[in-house]
Amino acid sequence: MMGRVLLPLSVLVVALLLGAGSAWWMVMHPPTSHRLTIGPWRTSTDVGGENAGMYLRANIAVTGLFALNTSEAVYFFAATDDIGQPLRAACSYAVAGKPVAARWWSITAYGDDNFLIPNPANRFSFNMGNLETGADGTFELIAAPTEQPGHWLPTGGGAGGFNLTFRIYNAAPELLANLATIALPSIRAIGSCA
Amino acid sequence: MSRWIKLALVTLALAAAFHVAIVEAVPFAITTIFMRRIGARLGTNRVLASPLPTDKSRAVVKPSPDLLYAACIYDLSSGPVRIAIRPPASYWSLSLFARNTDNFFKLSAEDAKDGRAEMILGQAKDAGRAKSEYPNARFVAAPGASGVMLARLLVLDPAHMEAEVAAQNSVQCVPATKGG
Repeated sequence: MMGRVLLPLSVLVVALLLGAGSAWWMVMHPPTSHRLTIGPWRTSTDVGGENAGMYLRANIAVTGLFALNTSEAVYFFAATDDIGQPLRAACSYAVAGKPVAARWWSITAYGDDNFLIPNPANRFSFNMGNLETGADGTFELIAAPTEQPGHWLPTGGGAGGFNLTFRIYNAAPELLANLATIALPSIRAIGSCA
Repeated sequence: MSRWIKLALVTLALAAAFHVAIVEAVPFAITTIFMRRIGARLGTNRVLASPLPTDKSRAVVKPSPDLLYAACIYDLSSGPVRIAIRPPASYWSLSLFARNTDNFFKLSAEDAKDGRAEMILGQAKDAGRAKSEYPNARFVAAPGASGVMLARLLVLDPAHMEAEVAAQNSVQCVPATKGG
């Protein structure tokens, strides 16, 4: 009698665990035919659109609810530096690049929970209006746990990680047509970790 | 086929069914939680304007700290909804999301006319009436009876954001009544 109940129940529990576990893994690592990876940055041209597919749609709901589709905004995400090491909140990174052709763009830091990082400067991002470029037309910001000269983007410190989002709104048509070849900022670890 | 192989196949088939059901449910569940939170504070077809996001903002993951947001839970069960803005000079958009998070429409700078941008959101059957009663507004057929409208307004300098705040406060999301 016990066996008749226990066996189907065990099958159900194992199936639920397998289904939920594999679902969560696939949501966090969505396959997409339109994924772009440029250095440490990645995006999908299907974000926000009807072609997103169930995995990407669920991923965006979890990591960036109400993202706009590519015709309006392109979101590049980075959770590693240029050599593929995870971004650590206790470490410092030089993020350097050139402005992109768009109505506006910004670089924002988020904690592991995907919310803005508390910091004494109340600085959460830099955008095209406040990220000055040098004579060579390039910019550099320092993502670090403690105050830095120049453009300091706080990472919060501590044992966890952080991630960066590069937002490009109303990208110029030629940029949108050649997204795969766009020059995005490099992310280079500098100094020692706090 | 042995009993154990059958059992393994049944388990895998069930696991696959759970997998698809969970993945499909995630966007709806998260959107529904957001809609209930906003709806409980404000109801439907009303605009909730928020200050610039900070580390204390927890309504939506990955908010942009450079954008003023205004949200509205649209409910078309009693008829179309009129959504409008008096746009600022800087970047802005009014975007419409279905319950599955698809961004099915947006209004932005190129849609503004005479210092105003306006759309009527309804069901396909409402198109004729909406076009005759609101000739200057864009009609948008929603894929479902409810969802989210999100206004985004760029603030490049938080020390001088009066125009953007005024534009944020001008966002309307109200039941479309003739002449209203």
